[in-house]
Amino acid sequence: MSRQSARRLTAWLSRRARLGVVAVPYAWLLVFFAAPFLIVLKISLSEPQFAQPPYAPLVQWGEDLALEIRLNLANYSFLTSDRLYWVAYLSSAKIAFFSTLICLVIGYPMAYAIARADPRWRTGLLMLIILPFWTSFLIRVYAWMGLLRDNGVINNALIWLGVIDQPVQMLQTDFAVYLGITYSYLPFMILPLFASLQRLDSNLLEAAADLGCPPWRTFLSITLPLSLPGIIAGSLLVFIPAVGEFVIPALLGGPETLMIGRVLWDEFFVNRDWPLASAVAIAMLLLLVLPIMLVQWLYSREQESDA
Amino acid sequence: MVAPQPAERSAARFEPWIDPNEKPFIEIKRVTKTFGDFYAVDDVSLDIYRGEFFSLLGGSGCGKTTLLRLIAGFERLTEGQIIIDGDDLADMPPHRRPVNMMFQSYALFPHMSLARNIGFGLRQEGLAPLEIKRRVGEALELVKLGPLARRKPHQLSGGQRQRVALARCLVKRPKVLLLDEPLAALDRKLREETQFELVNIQEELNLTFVVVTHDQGEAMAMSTRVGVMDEGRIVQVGTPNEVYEYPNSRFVAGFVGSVNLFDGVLVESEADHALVEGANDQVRFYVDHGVAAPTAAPVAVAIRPEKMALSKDLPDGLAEGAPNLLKGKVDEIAYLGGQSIYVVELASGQMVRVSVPNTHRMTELPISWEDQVFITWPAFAAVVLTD
Repeated sequence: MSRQSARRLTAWLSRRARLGVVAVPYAWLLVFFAAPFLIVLKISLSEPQFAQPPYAPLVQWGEDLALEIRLNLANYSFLTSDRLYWVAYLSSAKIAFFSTLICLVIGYPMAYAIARADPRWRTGLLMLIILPFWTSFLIRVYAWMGLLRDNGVINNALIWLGVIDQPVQMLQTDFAVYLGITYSYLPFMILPLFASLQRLDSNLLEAAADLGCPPWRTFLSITLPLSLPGIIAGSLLVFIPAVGEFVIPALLGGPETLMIGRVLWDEFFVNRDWPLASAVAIAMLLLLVLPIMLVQWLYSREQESDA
Repeated sequence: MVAPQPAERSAARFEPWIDPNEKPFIEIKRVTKTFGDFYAVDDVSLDIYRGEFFSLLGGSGCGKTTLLRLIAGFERLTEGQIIIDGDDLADMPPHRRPVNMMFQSYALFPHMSLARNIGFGLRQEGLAPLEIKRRVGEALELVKLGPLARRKPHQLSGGQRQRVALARCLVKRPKVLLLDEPLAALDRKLREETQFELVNIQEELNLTFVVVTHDQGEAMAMSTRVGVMDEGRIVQVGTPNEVYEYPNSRFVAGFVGSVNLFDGVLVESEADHALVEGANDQVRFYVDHGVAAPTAAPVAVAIRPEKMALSKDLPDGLAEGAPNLLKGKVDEIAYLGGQSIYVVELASGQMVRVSVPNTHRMTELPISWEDQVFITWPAFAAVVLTD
């Protein structure tokens, strides 16, 4: 083999290798995200029926061997006709929004403190943030049930201290849902915030002070805008899963805590209406993804106009 | 060593430090800064006058940047006082100090345009928007960046960024401008141009500059005076000329420019001359000025390479063993264009550097490797160091 063809071979191999490296995660996404999504989309467009599986096929051969495609949009129109779904969507978005806000308010100072901490302590502090992940999410939510119950740790402690004489109902309230979501998703807020705050050059803060800017204004005009990517990333990481959250409202929430995750669950497992449940899921996805894509698009356009 | 007597000064020369009636603008009084048990700045006292271009010169870790940061207020004094224009700065936070600092990294705000970067300090003063706009425009004009006002820092070259950083400080009209290695990030050609630009701006606006640098050439070229620092202390303060021609220690002699150092013993110490017996090579150094040390004191003699002359034959009127004469063998030659550096090995093994200006066009070197050569120098050339 000539030297030139050998070189061409290695070039071809390295191109292939690069492709391979990218192909693996893409294949993963295709198989475990795109394919299930398409299946759900398909089910959402079919008609429910009492059978196994509990929905009619979308595509089938007719009696005269003609290909029949039956698209059923009734599931979607039903979503708009029943107020329950709108209320559930809005209430989910509201709970997720305020939980995200609480996470941000609690998480920002924590991330700031860790980023500014002595490097010797930093790794340890970060470990403490990640530590809860060593325990199952479900077990941690159950632990909150133990804490919040009428005869749970908190009520007993308050009664023993004489602060209250009747147990306060905390479990099965919206308060417990907020508490659970904030508690569970706080690390997802702190980690991206920490990453962007740690990158912040301390010289910039000194330069601001040097130019006559008092500390609080330095925070508003330098630190906050420069940590915006971290704020956006952290907020999305909390908001998106919080909207679809099922376990926390189911275990900690009361009967009147309406979240779309529970509605979805009920449609699937109680009503066994797979097509409607799929429509709920698809609608939720669109309602979540479209605004986020819009925000991303506006943000990147603003970045480009700077360039 | 006796301090050089100032020659007759004309009134036009700017030398406030020799006027006893002149009040210093920046008074640094017995300033010490420790980090744990490390003395970053160790009992430094320094007076800097209005309109000076003062350089703090030293190697890395000598405390020059810490001293600058103490003036800016980013570090708290362990001991001592810093007074600017009569105000003690001790308890003043950085945002209230009448000084501005240009950072080595420039520290431009990446999310703001040039105009907003430069206007940042003015907005803190609460000036009217029109006034801010006017002064930002002036500053942009001064550093010749007008057309780029809307760009962001990442869209600029290193030299442009440096000028933005400068403009951002100048626009505040500070009493003192502190510059931390202002030219270190520029390439050589740009650095030389910018040196002159900095001096012009400083003179034009009649500002007081305190510059930190590790580059002795830069310090010499720009400064009215240089403070040489080593291990947290100021070891010598003087004009570039004084520091170069009359270094007061081996450290300063070696740090500022290149130098040949010879150990010896003072054998004659008179008011108008001194004689040093070299420890090696049977050399004697005759200097035409007095030395502030008694006879028999161990001393070092420092001679700059460009003050020595090289010849193949014994110069006229000199016999072997005469003072200010050395014999050796050429070990290395570096042809640098404008000058050549000859490294001559003495009998003791000591290497002596002699630089010879190439005033004639040379195709063949008159002195070559392995040649026996004589080195001579005039009586004013040597500096006797007692430290």
